[in-house]
Amino acid sequence: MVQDRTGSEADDAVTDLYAAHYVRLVRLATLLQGNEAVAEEVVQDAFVALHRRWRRLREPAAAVAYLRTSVVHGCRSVQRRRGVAARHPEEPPGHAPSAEQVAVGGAAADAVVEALRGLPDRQREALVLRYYGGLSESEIASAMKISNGAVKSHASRGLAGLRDAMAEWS
Amino acid sequence: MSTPEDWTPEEQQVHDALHRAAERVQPGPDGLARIRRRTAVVPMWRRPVVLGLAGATALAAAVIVGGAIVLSNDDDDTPVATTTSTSPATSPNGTPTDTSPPTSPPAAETTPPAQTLTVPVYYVADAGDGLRLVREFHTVETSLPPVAAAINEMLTAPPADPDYTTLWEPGVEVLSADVADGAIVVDLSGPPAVGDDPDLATQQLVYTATAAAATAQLDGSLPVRIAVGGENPSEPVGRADPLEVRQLVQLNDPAEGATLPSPVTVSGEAAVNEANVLWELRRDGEVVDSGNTTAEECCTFSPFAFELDLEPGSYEIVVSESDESGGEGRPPMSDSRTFTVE
Repeated sequence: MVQDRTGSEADDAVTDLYAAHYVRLVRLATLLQGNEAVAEEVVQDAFVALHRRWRRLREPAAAVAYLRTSVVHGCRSVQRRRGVAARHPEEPPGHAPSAEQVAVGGAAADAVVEALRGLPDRQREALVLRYYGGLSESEIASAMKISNGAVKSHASRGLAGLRDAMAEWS
Repeated sequence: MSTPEDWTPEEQQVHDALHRAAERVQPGPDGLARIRRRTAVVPMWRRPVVLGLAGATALAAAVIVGGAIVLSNDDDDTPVATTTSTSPATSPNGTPTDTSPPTSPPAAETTPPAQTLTVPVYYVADAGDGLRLVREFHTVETSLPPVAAAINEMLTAPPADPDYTTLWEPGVEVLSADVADGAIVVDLSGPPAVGDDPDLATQQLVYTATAAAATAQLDGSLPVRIAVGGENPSEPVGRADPLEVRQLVQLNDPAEGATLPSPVTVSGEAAVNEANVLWELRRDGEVVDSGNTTAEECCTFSPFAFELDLEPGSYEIVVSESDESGGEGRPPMSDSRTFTVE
């Protein structure tokens, strides 16, 4: 039956995309909204939604872009939804760092992540997608559903916002 | 576009810091299994439909109106004036259609003439609280009767709003949708594949069918029975409580992608606290104006409208409910449209 074949294609696609992108997306989502357990939920939601839409996406590039957009959107929602976060204990991303991690600059990373947390959503998204996601301006624009010009201005204002925090350790 | 080669030292530091923080995040081992459990398809027509009852219970526990779960006939699904540029019984080339053979569906009997209908079509969107039903009005050229035409549109046409989607996979057609024995019997060509939320998918169909019935002067309060190939119609399913399943803020106008003159009338329906509807006007993602307006009634779906005087250009209008919980509850729901002022 038609839907069975599509169903198993979607299953295979989810398996492949999971192997290639799950960890990175969870890390991205953790940087965006701060809680690792919530990040996993958001990314799993994105995969479930992708499975449902597989017929319309079909090819891997579109699927990855769809996952990214869903994760950004999901994190934005979570930012405003303390209800979900309350189910999980508050924790900074990368809790319980090892001694080595701290030694190689964990404190500096914490300062940036801390400062990032204080930025408006859009600025934080632009910075995380660019400097952690390694995305091009237009990829960022499509993930955030805004124009290229708006990406530029959010990113530069975000960087300016981080500058104070960075001055303390650079 | 920046590349690592032309980054400033500051940008390089941000890059390093984010990667260092990210690497400490180690996802659990069972993510794929969790996703799999949620994507496993349970055939909808084999499942008892429980949403209506669950909705009713939650409603009683919540705040508001008691009981009003069935749709009344003077429902809010009446198409909005600006979207109905219809001229029934006229074919696209302006001649009566009863002489020309129809191009569309397989006609066992005489095919009625094609006409232009504006039908309500329900889709779903995630406004921050999981998927909920949303509605568009589509103007279609069809020889199907109104209820079947609306369902056909739901099954075959994508939503105009990019934030909307459907729970129904393509490949299933509507064979008929007729009122019989106190229900709207919707006959589908094959078993539907509806993903991981069959109850809501069922409601997407039920809302579309009943809204189309109400619009066509039929009884919109009838429940819906779903059959496949004319066989085994399901138990009658009524509309679940709109406060449970519909997005609480719904824009009707402007339509997605519309080009229109100023002043622009923004209208829709909302079921919100204190009837308070917030709006933001954006250009290039930046808020350029904002305000609030009131729906006619509090806490149940009722109309709102306001006007904007705008210079030519592209805009996005976002309407939302106010966040009464101070961030403690679910996020406020919103709806948005992009449009161009000429």
